[in-house]
Amino acid sequence: MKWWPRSWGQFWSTLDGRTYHMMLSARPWIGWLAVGSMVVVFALVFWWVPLEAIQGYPQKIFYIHVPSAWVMYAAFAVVFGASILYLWKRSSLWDIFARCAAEVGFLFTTLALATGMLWGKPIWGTYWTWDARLTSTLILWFIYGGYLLVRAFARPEADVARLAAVIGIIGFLDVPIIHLSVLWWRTLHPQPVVMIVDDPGGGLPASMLITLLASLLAVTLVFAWLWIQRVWQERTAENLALLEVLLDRRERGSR
Amino acid sequence: MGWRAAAAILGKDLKLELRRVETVATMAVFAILVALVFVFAGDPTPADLRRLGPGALWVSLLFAGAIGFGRWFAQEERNQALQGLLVSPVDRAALFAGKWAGATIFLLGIECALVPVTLTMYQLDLAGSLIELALLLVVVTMGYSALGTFFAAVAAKTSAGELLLPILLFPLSVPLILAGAEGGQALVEGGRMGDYWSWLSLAVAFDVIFGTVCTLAFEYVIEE
Repeated sequence: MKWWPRSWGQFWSTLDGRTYHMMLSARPWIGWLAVGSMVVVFALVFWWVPLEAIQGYPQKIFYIHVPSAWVMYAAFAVVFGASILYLWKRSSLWDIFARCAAEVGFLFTTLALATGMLWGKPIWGTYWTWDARLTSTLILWFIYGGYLLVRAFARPEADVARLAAVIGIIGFLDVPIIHLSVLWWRTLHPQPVVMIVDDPGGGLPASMLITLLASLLAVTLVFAWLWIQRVWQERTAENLALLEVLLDRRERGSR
Repeated sequence: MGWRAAAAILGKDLKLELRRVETVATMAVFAILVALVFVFAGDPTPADLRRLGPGALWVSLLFAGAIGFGRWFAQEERNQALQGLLVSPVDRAALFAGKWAGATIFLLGIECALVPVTLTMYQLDLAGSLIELALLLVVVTMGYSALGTFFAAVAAKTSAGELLLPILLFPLSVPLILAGAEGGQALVEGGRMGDYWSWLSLAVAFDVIFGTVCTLAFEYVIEE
């Protein structure tokens, strides 16, 4: 317990440094685990798990669709937590955590939407229906798209990290309310769909459940790996910029 | 102290707007035009009109607000008025409360013109539930103005400016739009008071949550 902090300030700075260093040392492990578990999941999905009786092959997209949606929520929860910590601690590492989680989360939101639409075509007979979950995922996609746009187009003199943190917090707080309102909206107006498929997950046979759990784990690892990779890139870029400033100063000093 | 500062900012905004009614008057006309253009989206029968009416009302308000919030905030940027407000010993929360109240009143003013016209154009008969409609309008407008004022300040910090405001504002306002449109629809169809009260309480919850969060978080946006 050499690193045990003596004050809250020290605790947070230790946590900052330690979290980042733990992430760096775990990075290759997480990377290889992600690749390995994805290979296992593909083997399970295509060779092991039995074909679903009614839907047939299209049902297999389920094993990538559900994990993408789960990672989407997890990523935006990371954005939320890191944004709060950034506003509280004002340490750039929390800002980098939030930014990178938002980017990767946006990617997985896109994946969840795309796989959902591809699945919808053979099963519902249409790429898009105003189903409650599809609709709220689309709204989420726009919220975090806006978050990334603010990041990209902030004026140079503005404090981007603070603006983004505030949007990250408000956006996440809105998620349950949006979901509830969209759910009410759809239940009050039942929609005519070509074919209604029961909620997947309920009464899932054991083999499908195992495959789903494995794919949840694998996709979460892929997310974690991409996220850490981005955090490392951003942190390295930040250090490089700092070094350039220092070198510049030294050159001027020697002149 | 906080309340007096908020009231002073509200008073200043109202006085400015009353001298030159350009923004509110232009936006009222704009909102009515949007509601009108909506009719051209199809070839609606009277039944279609009654079904579309409440939604069209809220979409027009949404568009009008997206233009208005940016302008009401931009007037503080002229002549460094905002810097003046920031160096004055005023709580940031009071500053937000003043701007929020102003935006709410402006939007309600626009609704005074927009609502009767829309009700007529869409052949909606709400004479029996005017109080419920007014209540819904006030609650939804308060929530929308809170988000609008807040994100106008955020968008002003980006080079995309007012282009970015609707992109940030519309997705986050979805619960409010649905509450307004569906709550209004429940009133139009009559006898669905249970649905009306559910949507109204959703909007009230939204106002409480985001009114508080935006007021508290405003200082992080406005700080230089």
